[in-house]
Amino acid sequence: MKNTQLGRRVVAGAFGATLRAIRLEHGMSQDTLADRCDFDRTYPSLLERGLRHPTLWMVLRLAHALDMEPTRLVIETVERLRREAES
Amino acid sequence: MSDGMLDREQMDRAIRTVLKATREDLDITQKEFARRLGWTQSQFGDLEAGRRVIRAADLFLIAQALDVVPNAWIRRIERWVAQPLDATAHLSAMQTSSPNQADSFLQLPSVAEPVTKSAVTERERLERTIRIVLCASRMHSEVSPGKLAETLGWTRAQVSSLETGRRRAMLTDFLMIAKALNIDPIALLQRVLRW
Repeated sequence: MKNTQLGRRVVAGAFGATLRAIRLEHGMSQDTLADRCDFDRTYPSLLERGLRHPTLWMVLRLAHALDMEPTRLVIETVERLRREAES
Repeated sequence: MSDGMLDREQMDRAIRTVLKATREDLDITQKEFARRLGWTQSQFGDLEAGRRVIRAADLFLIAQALDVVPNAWIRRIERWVAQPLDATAHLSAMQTSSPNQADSFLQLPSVAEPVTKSAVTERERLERTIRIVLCASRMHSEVSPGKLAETLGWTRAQVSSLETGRRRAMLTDFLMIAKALNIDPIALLQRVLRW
């Protein structure tokens, strides 16, 4: 069951990359995202670089700020993790 | 309490609640936060647990440690305080709940009814939903807390903390639990959102 052990860093990295891709797709700046979520301005950048690990609630809040289905953020993170595991 | 005024104790509790939620949202440990404040971990732990008086200067120091302007930090507390009073009462009731509360919640049909917004803040409602769905899914898969802990490489106490709300579910926890229960994480998330 080695695969059950998902490292926090690995997940944070995959989530960060996904968040960045989607944010850019929406043409939104990190500052705007921070404002919409009422975070401090450095937080989206920390998340995107995989230096912070979000709570599930935070993931849903970010999805709301990006005006998207929360499942998509998670689906794409999971897909990214799968691709990374395969390569 | 008349006119929605909070007494000192309630106000203190509100500040501590917002502090803890903010710290956890930002994924900063007590140790790291204490370091940023230039305090020992136990000093900070005492403040968060309500064993140390919160001084005005502390609020400014905390804002510095969070790297936000004091106004933004005070605004968060204001917003929390502006919630209906029973939200505070409900939260404190949840915090003092027994470790078996999550299990007994599930046996009550009333749990399936949406919790009214006036009773719990949106966030607390969602956190509770996450806990209920995780716990219900584990039971549905007929996995005991001990077995889940073993599969995850956690202690039994860690599983219990998550299910009773003493520990917030991180994205990794959620994905790991889905995998351990052999449930598609997206399907599990949809359960949370549909609740």
